[in-house]
Amino acid sequence: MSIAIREACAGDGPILHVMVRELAVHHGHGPDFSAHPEDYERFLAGPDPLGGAFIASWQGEPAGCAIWHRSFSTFRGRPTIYLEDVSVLPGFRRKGIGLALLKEVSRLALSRKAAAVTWLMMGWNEEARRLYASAGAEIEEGNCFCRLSGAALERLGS
Amino acid sequence: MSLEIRQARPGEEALVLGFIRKLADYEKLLHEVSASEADIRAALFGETPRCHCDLAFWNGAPAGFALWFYNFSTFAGKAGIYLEDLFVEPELRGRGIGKALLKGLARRCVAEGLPRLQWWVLDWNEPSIAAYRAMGAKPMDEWTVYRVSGAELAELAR
Repeated sequence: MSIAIREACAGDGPILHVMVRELAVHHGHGPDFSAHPEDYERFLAGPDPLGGAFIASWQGEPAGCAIWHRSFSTFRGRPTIYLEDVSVLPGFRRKGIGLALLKEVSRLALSRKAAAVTWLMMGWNEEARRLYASAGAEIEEGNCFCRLSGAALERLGS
Repeated sequence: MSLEIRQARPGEEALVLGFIRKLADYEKLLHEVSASEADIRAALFGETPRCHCDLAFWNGAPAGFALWFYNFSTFAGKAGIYLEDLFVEPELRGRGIGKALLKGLARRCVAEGLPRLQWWVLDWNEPSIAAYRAMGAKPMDEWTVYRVSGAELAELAR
């Protein structure tokens, strides 16, 4: 049994696309998923990309990924890392791959002198809740996440 | 009676940090603010800016601010705008200044083809939540925020 983790690079768009689509479908968000493999290629490209990704393999097979982007805490005056997705493909779950990916993102945060790593979780996801507790993460109570998109965004932005 | 909104300029770090502190005070989180003017200068005006700040002026006097940066939605495969801080001076509320700041960001989203404008609000801040709902923003109730920082972050990274 062996987990290997590497940074995603040019050419990883298709595998990231498969893994994120799996995550979207698993959470019942299949209809909201409209990304293309090229979108991830663009995201990873350039001299100072907005973020990046790690790809985990289990005995040489692509098994999961973590995708992050830059963030900033105005209270701390320091960068933070926002973890957008952690996806582990069915068949590779319960092998410690999610925790290994979280560790890798934490190392990245420390190397970038980031004050914190933050992320969102669907409320009902007990399996993920246990994983995050074991990683030492705290729940930030008292927050309400707001999103403006679609017709409402067009209306306000017109 | 006139409202002007423009990007913050180098030299206005103290004004921006002042707004950050006033927002933290309103949120009863002033004790968590450790950012310095130098931090804000580097984040907004450094070699690789990490944030953007729009300032609002009412009859020429500083009235509020919106501090934001780009994020990335892996489901949409596109960047979006994340609004970190929004604040309007208490004595100048009720004049549409906050809405004008949000509208400026919504316009930018539409102009740049970004599908989402997102932010957090404290769940006891009912006046703001009501205003956001009126603009068409949806509270994403089913999400929980996680954060790992400090000693726990260092431990996870080991």
